[in-house]
Amino acid sequence: MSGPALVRTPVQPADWPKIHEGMRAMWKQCLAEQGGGDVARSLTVNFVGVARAADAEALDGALQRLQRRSPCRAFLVLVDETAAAGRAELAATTRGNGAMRDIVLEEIRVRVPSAAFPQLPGLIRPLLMNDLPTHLFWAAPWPQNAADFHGLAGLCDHVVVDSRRFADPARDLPTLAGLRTGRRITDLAWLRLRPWRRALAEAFERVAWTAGTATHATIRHDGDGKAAALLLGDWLRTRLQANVQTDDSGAASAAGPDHLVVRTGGFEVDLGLFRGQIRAHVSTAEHCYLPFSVPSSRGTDGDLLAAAIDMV
Amino acid sequence: MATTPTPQATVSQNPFADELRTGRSAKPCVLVIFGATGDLTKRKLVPSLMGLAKDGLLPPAFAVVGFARRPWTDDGFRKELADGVKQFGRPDTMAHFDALADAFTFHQSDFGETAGYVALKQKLDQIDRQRGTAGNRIFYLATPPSSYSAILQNLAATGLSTEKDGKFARVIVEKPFGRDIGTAVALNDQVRAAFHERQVFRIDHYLGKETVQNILALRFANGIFEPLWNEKFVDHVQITVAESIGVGSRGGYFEESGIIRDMIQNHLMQVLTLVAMEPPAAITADAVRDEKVKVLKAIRTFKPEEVDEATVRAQYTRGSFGGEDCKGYRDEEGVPKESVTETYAAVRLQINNWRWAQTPFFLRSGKRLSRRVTEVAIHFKHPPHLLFEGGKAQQPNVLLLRIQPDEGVALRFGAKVPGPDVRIRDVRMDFRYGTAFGGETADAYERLLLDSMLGDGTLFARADEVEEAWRIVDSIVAGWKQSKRRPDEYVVGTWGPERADALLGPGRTWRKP
Repeated sequence: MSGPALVRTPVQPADWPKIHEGMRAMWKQCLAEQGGGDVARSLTVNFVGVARAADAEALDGALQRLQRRSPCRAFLVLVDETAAAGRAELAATTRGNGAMRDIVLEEIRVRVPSAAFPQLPGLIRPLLMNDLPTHLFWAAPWPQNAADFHGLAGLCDHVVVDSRRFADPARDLPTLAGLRTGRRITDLAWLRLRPWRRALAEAFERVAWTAGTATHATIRHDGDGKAAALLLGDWLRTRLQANVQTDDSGAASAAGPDHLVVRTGGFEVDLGLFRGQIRAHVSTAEHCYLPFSVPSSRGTDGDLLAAAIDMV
Repeated sequence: MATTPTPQATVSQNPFADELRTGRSAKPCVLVIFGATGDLTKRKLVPSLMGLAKDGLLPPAFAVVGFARRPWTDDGFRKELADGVKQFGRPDTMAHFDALADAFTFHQSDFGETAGYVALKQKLDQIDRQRGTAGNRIFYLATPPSSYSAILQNLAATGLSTEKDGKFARVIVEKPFGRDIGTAVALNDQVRAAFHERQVFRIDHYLGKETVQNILALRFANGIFEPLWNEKFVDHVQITVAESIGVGSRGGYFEESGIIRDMIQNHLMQVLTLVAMEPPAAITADAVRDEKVKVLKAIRTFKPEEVDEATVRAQYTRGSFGGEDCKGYRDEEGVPKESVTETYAAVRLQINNWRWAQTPFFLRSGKRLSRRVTEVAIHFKHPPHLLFEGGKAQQPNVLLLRIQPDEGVALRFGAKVPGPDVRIRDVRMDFRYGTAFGGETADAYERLLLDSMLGDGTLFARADEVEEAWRIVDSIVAGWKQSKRRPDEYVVGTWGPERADALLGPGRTWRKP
């Protein structure tokens, strides 16, 4: 289903103290473009996104998917060590709705060096829309200085991270686990694993498994999928007390596991990527079932982000 | 390793069972569609199944068997379904069909031929062994109702309707559920001779619409509406299902049913029950349906002499609409010139319980009206004392539940016009689904097919609901038959006959959405 056409205003620069003024000018521009018709603001969440400047395009892509599901006011923080703090870029996106248009996205984009992070909570807090939930999407590598993360997370009701972007998942995942107490955190890498978890659950519907049975699992992944493999491995250890081995020789395009084998109690479950699906083979010593498939992807990062926000 | 048929493996506790319960994951099953060569399968059922596949909601161990008389092959069946997914499916669902195509097979048989069902049973057992579908079956009756009896009898005779060893067997029945209470009871008896009521899923696609389900969410997930949701505060309720199209080539069919059987007995009655019901103890199938049935039971059967005063029926007449000259109903193909079948009906219903004793519910539905719209309008009473000048002219508050199009909720209330005078003007607060949530909306059939796989009958009509709705509608039809008044007329593209305004009573007007 293709929705009504979206129209984005030209980007307007504004100094930080003038952001609110700049936004008012932006709304007037939306009205002028509507030729005197009505324009309404229909925002349902505040969104704070943090990414490296080099990943701006990916963050924009995710934001476009998000606004289709949850119209939002978005603060986009792009980390650029060569930038000078103090300037913002503003834009609004409207969507046609009969004779009127709805503002479905307000963007406030800042480029800052890491050193400017302490200023960000004070900049963002007064610009958050009242009574709307605030979500932080930390799409940058895990910060050297934890205070950078805590400063922004403290503004937000819910934090979304993507451990796939962690420089050293073996080091950073336990840190992330330690932050979960008292805070809602969703990891996109874990959501991306949902088809694998589902396929494994379906496979175990076909066989009889007894707790305590010696179990061995092998997870193959590429370099980018290390965090996902670690998360999946931890899950298998918890659920099956499995001996888990990981192997990083997987396909570079998988961005996660590309093959998982579990051997236990006289049967084998073999899951592998095949034409956009996870194909599952379940076999015992006597026979094997026809393979079944589940879609390997639950959508783009933006779709997963929108789903993570929906779940809260 | 070769694929060999084996008995179904014994399943012990699944250490990942919670993953299957996360969200709404259905158990493995086979869907058998009777009348699979018809339009419904191609346009709705299979595109909806692929929508479920896209959203990861279809069980991986899943298969479809098309059962029909025509001599199609598996490949021919798949080709037809692929065309349907391409034309009517959500974006990006074709790849899912391609991945699942070999799970679709065709079974040729006459609906009344028992040998065809014996062969079907063997085929299903083989699918279970090969695909792990675990002996679970859903039978979808996508045939004309005249075939239901033969299908149900044969499903029972061959044991296909029997549930045992934790395996489920369910039947989905498409409307119409009879054409009066006698035929509805007879149909329910036939269904119950083969299946228990808990195995039966009577589908009214209106209940699968997100916005219809939102009626329950609005009422029972919010604290502010329910205290006002009664006769003390609500003056009356208007439920409208309007269509801008005429009967087209369905004149022959429509002549037999009329708008009261085609729309009011099912869609409008379902919406009415959701608006008027008491809070259920839980959102479970029987708790919700028990409360819906209570609403219908609280509506008195009309005496024939009451019907003319409590209802309006009418037929559309020739007129210009949207720049086109449109035929009147009696000039449509398959419609006799002397027809008295109504294309418009408006009905005043009184729910005789403590909540609604003094609040009438007005239901109207028609063809060739000004626009296609479905909505529920809760009209509140005026405040007890009107303080402001011109207060009597001010419209009362209206809470509007828009079901289609522009799905959403709006509230009309009075606000002070800026300036030195105290003048009140109506303004509107508006929530629109498309704006607040955006994204792709799943077809109603997706939700209902998934619920049938999950065994959740909340959004399906129960036998007693159907029969109670027919009791009310039959009494109206009987009154019309005895009445000397012919149907009123309305010009194509208007909001119905003038007499419908009088039905509402003094001080009330029909909305023109």
